[in-house]
Formats: sequence, structure tokens, C-alpha cells
Amino acid sequence: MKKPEDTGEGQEGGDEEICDDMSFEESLDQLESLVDRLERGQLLLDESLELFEKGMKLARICNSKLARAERKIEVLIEENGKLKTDNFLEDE
Amino acid sequence: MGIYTVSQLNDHIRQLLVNDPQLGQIWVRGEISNLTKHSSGHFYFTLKDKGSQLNCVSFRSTNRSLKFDPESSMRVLIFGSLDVYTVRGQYQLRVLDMRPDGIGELYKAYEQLRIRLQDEGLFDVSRKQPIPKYPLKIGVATSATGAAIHDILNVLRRRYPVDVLLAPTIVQGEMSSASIVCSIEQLNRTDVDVIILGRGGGSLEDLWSFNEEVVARAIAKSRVPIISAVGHETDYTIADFTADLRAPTPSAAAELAVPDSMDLKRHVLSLSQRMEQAAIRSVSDYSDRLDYLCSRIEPEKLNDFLRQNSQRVDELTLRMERLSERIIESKQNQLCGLAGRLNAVSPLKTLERGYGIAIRTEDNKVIRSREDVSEGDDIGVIVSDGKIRCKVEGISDDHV
Repeated sequence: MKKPEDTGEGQEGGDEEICDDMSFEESLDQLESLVDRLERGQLLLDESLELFEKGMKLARICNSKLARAERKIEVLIEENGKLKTDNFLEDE
Repeated sequence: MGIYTVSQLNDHIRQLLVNDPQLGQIWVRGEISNLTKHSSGHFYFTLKDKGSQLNCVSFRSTNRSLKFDPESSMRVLIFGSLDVYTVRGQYQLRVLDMRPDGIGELYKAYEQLRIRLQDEGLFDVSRKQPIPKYPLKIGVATSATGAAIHDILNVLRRRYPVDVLLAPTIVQGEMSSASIVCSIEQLNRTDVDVIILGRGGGSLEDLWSFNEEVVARAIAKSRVPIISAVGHETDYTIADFTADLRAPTPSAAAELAVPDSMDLKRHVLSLSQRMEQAAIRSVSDYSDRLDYLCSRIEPEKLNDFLRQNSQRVDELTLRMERLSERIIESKQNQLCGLAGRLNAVSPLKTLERGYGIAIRTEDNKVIRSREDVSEGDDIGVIVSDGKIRCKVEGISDDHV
């Protein structure tokens, strides 16, 4: 999924933007294809370094998504045909 | 007391039966026999037990909503009301609802439905939706108070951070199938990525609602993929067949619904390491090449080369200078020689020996013969140190 250009990122043609909004799946996919490219080699030196930097960003995003501690547990309620949610309290 | 006609008697009996509050709506248990399924859609059969039998009729309106297909020798529970078919003077039980009685019967009904839905293609693998790999929100349709929801939440907590939306569902009893259908429909109106439909273990009767046709249809219609988790030891419920994925227990369903974040973390770590290795390798490749090229340059050799060649240049310059001197010298000698020879043949030398050059003044022409002049002409005589102006006084033909 392509996102609109952010100011200041200015990546070179064809590559997608990296935002913190990316889903875990997107950042993991991008990281995997990036590592493939790096391993294939035959890149110019500054290309290698640029990819490496991007990769570090993607890895950071992946890790932060996995470390997300908060999660919502809610109950679905139907009222007058409309759906609402409420917090679910687990009774022990 | 008068004399009844048959019709009157039958009517009277009918009134008695129909108006008796105890016989208004009753449950009866027995075995079906002599079942006729009329083309009109009405069923006619006798319901019997060991010692007795009863006529029954089940009209089309009832038959349409039956959840199984009655057959002779099936044991059933019937909810109905007594009536009298006055034309024949027969009392009969009018069926309002009918269901299989006993495990065997339940199982038969289950088989009927399973085969029918399978033939319809409801269980086809091609109909099954893939379960999303990284869901953001999971819908759970189960009891709010049972063990299932706790098990599911525990597994999710351990495995992967994801939001949960619970649609409280009645998972057993009369209201269960409608409740399940409702929960599935409600969850389809939310933004959940996958639904876990389940309950803890129980007997075939407890799980019966998960074998009902309305539930199967609701699962088939669901836009959101469904994992069914009806804790049953061996058999699959019809919900299991229809669902996009089946799990043996609610905990197992939670494990299927989300990836293991430990695995993912390790995977990301390994990717980071591979990335570092690849980057280091490409930098060191370049640095190795650079070293090699530097080593080949060897500044000392260059200096040597320069020194040798400048010495040679000096040497050549010296030789060239010497050669030029010699050439000039020899040319000068040549010049002297030629100058001498020139001098020897110079007319001036002749003049020094005493000769003179006579020229006609009027046109500076050299006089060679006496014919060139006439008496009285002005002429000049060039001698070694100048010119003498003369006049011709006479011309003779000899030299004295």
C-alpha cells in the first residue's frame, strides 16, 4: 500500500515510504525484501548504506508493534439496532 | 338425554378434547411408524410405544421449520395438541414441533443435515476463506461467563498483542442457535478481522445448536472468516465443517488465529543480523578493493620512475647542446670556405689587379666593344677604389 509523500523523507524512486503507521505485516514484508536485496550484493556503497538505514527503521517498527502491551478487550452490545462496545471485565 | 347423530357425537368429543386445558399443548414421546409424506407437504404417521399407538398429523407449516427429516422407526419428541378428525371419528395429535429423541435419533438427524449440506457444497474447500496472518482485532462469539473466553484471552495474551471484541452468546439450549446466528451477524458489522466461534466441551445434546442448519448458513454467509472451536472429543459439528477453519478447543482456536510474537521477534532479530552482515560485507568488500589498489600505486616506485626519467632528460639535453655547438662550428667553417672562394672570383679582385670596368653613362651599360660608344660620349671607368668620369676622344680597332 503506497502512502502519500511525507516531507523530508525523500526516498529514491519506487521505494515506499516508511511511516510509524505501517502495519506489522507491511513492515515485515518490506524488511524481508530489503534484506534479500542487500544479500544479493552488487550494490553501490551508498545504496547499501541507504538500505541498511531503512532496514533499521523497519526493524524498529516491527519490534515496537510486537511489544505493544495495551490491548482492548470489549463486549459487543446491541441497543435499538445499533452496536456499541463496553469494557469486558473478566470475572475470576 | 337425546340421541346423538354420529356427527354430533364426534363434534362433542372433539369439543371435549380440544377444550381440555391439560390436553391443549402437550409433549409426547414415541416412535414413528407408517409415515406417509403426502405431496401436499403434510405428514401422516402413527406414534407408538410398546403397548399403544396414536394417530398423528404434521401439517406443511410445521414441517417447513423442522430441523430434521422424520423417518419411520425414528424416536421423536412431539409438541402438539389433540384434535379430532370428525370425518373418521379419529382423535389425533396435531404436531406443532418435533425433534429427535435420544442420542441415536440426534445422530441420525445430524447425519441427514450433514449429507444435505455437503451435497449443496457448503463444506467445499474452495469456499473457505483464508485466516488473516496478522489480525488487528478478533471477534469472539461465546458465552461471557464460560471457560472458553478465559482460555482464549489467556492464549492471546501470551502470544500476540491484539484487540478482542466479545459478542456474548448462548451456547446451549433452546435459544442457542438464534443467539449464535445473531452474534455472527453482529460481529460482521464490526471491523474484526476474524471470528472465533466456540464453547467448551459437552455432550452431543449440549452442542446441538452447533449442528443446526441456521447456524451453518450464518457461518457460510459470514464475510469475516470464522474459526470454529466446539470442544468435542471426536466428532465434528456441522459448524466445524462449514467454518473456514476448525480447532479442537477454544485455546487451539486462539493459537490458530494469531502468530506467536516470540517467533516473530526472533525472525525480526535474524533479519536484522543478516542485514548487518550483508552491510558489513559490502563495506569491507569495497575497503579491500581500495587497499589493493593503494598497494599497487606504490608512491616510491613513482618517485623512482620520475627520478630516472629526469636524469635521462638532462643527459639528452646535454648531448643535444654539444651537438648543436659542433654543427654551428662546422657550418661556420663551411661558410669561411665558401666566402674565400667567392672572394677569389669577385670582380673587385680583378679590379685590384689593374683592370677597370667601362660603362656608358647614359644607361649604365657595360661597354664591351668599340661599337658600344661613339666619339664624344660620356663614359665612366670603375676602378678598385672608385669611378673615373671620361669622354671618348677617339676610337681605334687595336689595343694601343
